[in-house]
Amino acid sequence: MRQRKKRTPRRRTPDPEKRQRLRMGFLAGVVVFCLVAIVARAYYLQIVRHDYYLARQQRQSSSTLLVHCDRGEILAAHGRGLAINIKGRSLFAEPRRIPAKQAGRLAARLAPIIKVRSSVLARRLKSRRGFVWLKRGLTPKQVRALEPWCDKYRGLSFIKENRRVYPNRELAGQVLGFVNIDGRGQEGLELYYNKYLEGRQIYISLEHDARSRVVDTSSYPELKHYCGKSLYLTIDRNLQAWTERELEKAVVESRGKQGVAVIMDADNGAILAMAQYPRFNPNSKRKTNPALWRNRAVTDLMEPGSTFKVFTLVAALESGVYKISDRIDCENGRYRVGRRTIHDTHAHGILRLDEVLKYSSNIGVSKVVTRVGAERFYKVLRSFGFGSRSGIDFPHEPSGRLRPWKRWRSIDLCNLAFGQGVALTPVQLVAAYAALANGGYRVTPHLVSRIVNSDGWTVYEFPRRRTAPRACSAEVAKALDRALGMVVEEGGTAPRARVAGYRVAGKTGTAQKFDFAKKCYSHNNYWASFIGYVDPPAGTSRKVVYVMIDEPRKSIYGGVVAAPAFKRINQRLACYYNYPPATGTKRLAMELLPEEKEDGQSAAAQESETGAKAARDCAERKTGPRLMPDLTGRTIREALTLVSRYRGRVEISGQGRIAAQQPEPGTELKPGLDFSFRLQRDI
Amino acid sequence: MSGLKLQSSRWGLLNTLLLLLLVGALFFCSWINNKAVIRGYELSRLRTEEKNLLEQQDKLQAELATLLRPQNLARLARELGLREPQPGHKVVLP
Repeated sequence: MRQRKKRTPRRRTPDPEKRQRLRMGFLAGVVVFCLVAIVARAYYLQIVRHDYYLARQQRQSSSTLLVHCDRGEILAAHGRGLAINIKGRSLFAEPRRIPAKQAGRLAARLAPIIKVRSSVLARRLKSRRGFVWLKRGLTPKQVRALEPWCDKYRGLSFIKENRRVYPNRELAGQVLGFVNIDGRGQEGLELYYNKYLEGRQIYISLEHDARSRVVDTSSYPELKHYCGKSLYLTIDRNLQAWTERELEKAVVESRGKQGVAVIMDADNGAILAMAQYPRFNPNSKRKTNPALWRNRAVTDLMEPGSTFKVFTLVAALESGVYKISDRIDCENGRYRVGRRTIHDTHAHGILRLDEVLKYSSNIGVSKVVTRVGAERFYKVLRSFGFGSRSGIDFPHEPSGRLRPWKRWRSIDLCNLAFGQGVALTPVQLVAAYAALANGGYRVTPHLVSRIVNSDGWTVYEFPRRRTAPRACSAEVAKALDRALGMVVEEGGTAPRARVAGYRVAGKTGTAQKFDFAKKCYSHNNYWASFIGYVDPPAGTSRKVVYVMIDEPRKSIYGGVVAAPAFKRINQRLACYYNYPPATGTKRLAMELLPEEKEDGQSAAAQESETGAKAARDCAERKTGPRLMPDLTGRTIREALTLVSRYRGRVEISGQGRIAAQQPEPGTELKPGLDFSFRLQRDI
Repeated sequence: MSGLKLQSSRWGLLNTLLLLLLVGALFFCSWINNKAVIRGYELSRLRTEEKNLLEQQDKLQAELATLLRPQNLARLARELGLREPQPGHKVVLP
């Protein structure tokens, strides 16, 4: 049987079109599969694990930065900075990134630069902590010296921090106070207004790339909204500087231990200057004795001495027991009260009430207060704020010490009448005198006039209206103003306080200090003081000036030690505020400081020449018609003195002495006439 | 047959155009993104520069305030031969 050959199926040649379609179908399937896989993966990543990956991305690409916003500035009355901020650098280390073997050597190298003991530095660098401060508040010199070290060691770096700077150095140092290394107020106004001044700490989120470079700062917030508010003080920078200088002069001349001076606007209690000697520089607080940080004008209690007598007279007049013209027998300097004897510095017989103040008679005021009575006297003292805080915006102000009247013995009452047995701060005394100076209204002393935010909007302003109650009637204040004016007259206790051309009213004070060791009043240590004011032109408030020297050695009397400083301060004050001299105007106007001429003419000769011209002017004014004099060769100051009363416009050109003038000499002078002066140097 | 060829070539052209558009859009997006990042870096650098300049300004102002303090001015004035005016030396014009 013939085996049939197995026929292999004949392979058909595939259709190329069909094959192509198959390939395309396969490829499409692969692509679709890939796409589906991608979409599925994207769905998983974007939808299912969305939160997880978002958080992870944010963690990797963004960081949070803590920013300390700037502290507000402290500005003087006219806007000059008294406490400002600059960026300083501090040095820190990350000990984990510093090899332990090198820590000791590094500490030894850094120690002399940053002035920290090497043992302390080594201990910090060897601690295995993540972050340690090495030195905060570096000087620019230290930064320059440290830069190579920071480049060399990865674990050593700088950080920028806000640094408080007091550009006027000692000026009003005790008033401003200071802040600690973290920028928090520790003393003075920095402490009292810390909650306003302090800038906020905020967290800022920043986007950065893999190399930690910040990518986008568009979401960076406007930091100034978080900065602290600025304070505008009532203190006038120029007055403060002069007061400090005059006080220093007074303390040094009197060989005193220290001194305090305060100037206050009597109408609203604004403190224009608050000086203290020895001074203190808040920029280098660590180098100074902490005792100097205290603002003694506000924090220290002292016995006022004779400056207090005026309030005894207020009680006498307010109660109606006495009139200012009443007479008191001052017993020729010795007066016995119980077992004690009261003395006067000079023996006096019968004195009027205002003369009691003029001669500062202890016996006179003792007799007055005995008749007025303790209760009435106490009420008057309380109405002036004695025995309580003045309310000044400054920390650590103590209440004045004034015992209740029921606990006074008769000798206590007499002592109180001349300012012993009562304690108050200089500011409390100045505030009480301000009430007398403004016609009887009590004022609240204050150092800050307004607080402004970082946009310049005022958020707080000290009320200008007087809301406090009256301390005494206007009539009594006026009568005592006249009596205080007598103190600086010839024969009074303070003729040295007189300011030429102005009416001065004030009172001296010479108070014995209490010796706590011996438990009695010291016979060597005194507070010598003078307080008063100069009469300003109508419509201007009086400025009460107080000067106190602690333990003067040259003389113990306020009229000798403190009054000259009071006079000098008021001379400047009058000039600064343009007070026209009330008396002796012509004389003062011509008492010009002679300027030295190039040819060496003596000062005295010039002075006499000026005086002669002044006399000629006066003669012209008195006798002849009001004609324009020939002012050629004279100074512009002389010319202005002459023409200022005609209220015309004055045009001045050039420098030197007058070379040409309009109107011509001999022209009749009328009010409203315009003047023109051409000055030349070689006249 | 020629109609089918024409239709397929039109589809091819359209697909190519769409593909080009897509690629172009992708390039544009990445270019924009790149520019935004560069601008971001620049902004960041300028902000740092501004901060440094402001810090420098603060330091200069502090220095100026120190130089203009009244004690310093008074000392300089005295050195230059100026004297302090007394009350009568100042004439206030109306």
